[in-house]
Amino acid sequence: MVKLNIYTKAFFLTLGIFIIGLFIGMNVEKLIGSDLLKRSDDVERSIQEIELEMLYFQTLNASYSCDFLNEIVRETNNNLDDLSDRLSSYSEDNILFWKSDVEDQKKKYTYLLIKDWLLQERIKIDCGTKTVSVLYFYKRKECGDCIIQGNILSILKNSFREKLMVFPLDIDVKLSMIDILIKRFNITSTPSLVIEDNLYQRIVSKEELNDIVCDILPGNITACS
Amino acid sequence: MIQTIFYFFASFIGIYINMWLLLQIFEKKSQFLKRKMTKKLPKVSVLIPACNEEASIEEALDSVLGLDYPKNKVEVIVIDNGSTDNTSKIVQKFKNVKLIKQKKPCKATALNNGLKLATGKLIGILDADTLVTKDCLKKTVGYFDDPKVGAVTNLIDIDTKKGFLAKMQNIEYLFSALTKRVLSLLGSMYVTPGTLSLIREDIARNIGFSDDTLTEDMDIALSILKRGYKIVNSLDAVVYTKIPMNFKKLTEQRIRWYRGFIENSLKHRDILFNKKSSHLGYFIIPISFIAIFIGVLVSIASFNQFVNDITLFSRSILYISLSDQASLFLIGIPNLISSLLSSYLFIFFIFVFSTSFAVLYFSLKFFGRANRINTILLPVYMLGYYFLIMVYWVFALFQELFRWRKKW
Repeated sequence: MVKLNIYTKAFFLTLGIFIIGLFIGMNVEKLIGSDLLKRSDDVERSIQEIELEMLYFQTLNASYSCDFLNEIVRETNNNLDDLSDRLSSYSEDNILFWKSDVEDQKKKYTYLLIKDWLLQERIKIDCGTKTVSVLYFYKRKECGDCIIQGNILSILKNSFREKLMVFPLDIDVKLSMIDILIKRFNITSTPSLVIEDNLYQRIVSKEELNDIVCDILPGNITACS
Repeated sequence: MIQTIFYFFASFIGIYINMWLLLQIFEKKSQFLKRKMTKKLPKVSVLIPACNEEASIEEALDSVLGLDYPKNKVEVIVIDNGSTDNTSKIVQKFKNVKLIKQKKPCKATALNNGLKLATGKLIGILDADTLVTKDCLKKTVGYFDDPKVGAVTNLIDIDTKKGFLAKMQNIEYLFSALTKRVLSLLGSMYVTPGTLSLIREDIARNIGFSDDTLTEDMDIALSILKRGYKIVNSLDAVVYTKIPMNFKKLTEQRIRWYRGFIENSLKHRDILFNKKSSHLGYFIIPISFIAIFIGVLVSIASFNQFVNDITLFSRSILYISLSDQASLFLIGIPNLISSLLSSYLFIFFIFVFSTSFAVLYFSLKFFGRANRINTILLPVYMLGYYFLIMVYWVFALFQELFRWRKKW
């Protein structure tokens, strides 16, 4: 007859260890959730600030304080990049208990990103700011080329800094605005780049992208020389 | 989601096996080195099948003939099974060694032929690449005082510890020796290797050695258990075996062993969930298969991920220079770490890893061998060597599945 004693003891010990693991994981998830929430709140606040500034200047017919706005925009972009990094490092596959929270944060991030892009386009017109905006449409899953394109953009962002504004949009995020943009720019595949209204539906190499950005940007830019 | 559930299940099984082993080790540590000496010294016929063993047969024979055991009670029979080298000539130099020549290079047939000539009450099976210690026979024959004992095996040590592969196998053999002792105390020792394992003569003749599986030592052991006899493992009777010193030989050996394990488990499937077989049929064989299945799936998934990464990298270098790739990697390290730390997979991997480490460490400690192993090598063994072993299991499984030609 099988001696159940050790089998049962081993089972309860394993169960104990397993519960500890789940508990640690749950708390890590909770921390991730609150970290994301804090970061997206920061970004939202910056965007609201830009909106308020613009509304103030428009309503009172005062002239824009472009330097001031550009500074807030720069800060907002940095926060958005940070949030994007955080979001991309947390794979949905690893989230068990707070999945919907993280998904909500991803939606919110995309929403803020689009809002930020629109505000920046507006500031570019009103203030004549010389920056290049890149709308980058990608898919998180089953798109190896998106990883390559994302890496190329990261390298270029490092050399052009605030002169190059990249807005990475995950086409799988369920947001009506994403569908509107996909229709508007006629996106049929990923990766796709929209650079100042021109569409590139393929991997755009570092050199080619560098040339495109340098053609748009006036003056002597270190990255272009 | 399926992937997450699978990894949870795999971790649970991994931790459970480790906990079970740890509890067994703690509970049975006092019985590990229990000796069983006797005044009765029965005649032992040592059968040595040898195929092209000119490099090692002489040393093996010297060690057997040098056993601290009455000379008239040790009968040595070498069965040259199809050698094309000087094995027979070397054996003929030993006057008190009987030599049988057979053309078929089959170990099971060789052992059966040896049995025909054997006159001992106990049959010892010795591979030609194994050396025995002087007192090893005296330390094992005592177990046969118990009429329920059908066979006795020894502690297998390796002949060299030099080189990385030998160091890894050293840990493996020490751990395996302890596992065998635990299995033996549970009446579930399921292999009688060719390291001077002793089998009662009447049982050996009744069962005989069969060549329908790649590992006749597991086949006969399971048959002994099925007949209601016990197989005991002695931890203080030491034999030294030659180990594969390169990956090619290790691959051949392991694939043969693991295919043999699968074949024998299928051949003796009546042992599964059989009341007579208790621990072996209810837990050890089923859990081994579950663990192998998990290991095989993890290996395939890791290999698939590796191929995907390589494909992506080779496509990526068409667009991004190596220096840019390196700087991207460095920039991405913090993200990689936070991604890793936030994954359940990582948390449970740490648990499986640390419990495995504890099992290995305590088993070697209770065994009095912890000082013989460099502790730093244990993680290397668990991360690198385990994975290699799983790869061999994948090959063995596929070879069995597609019925590849057997290679003894």
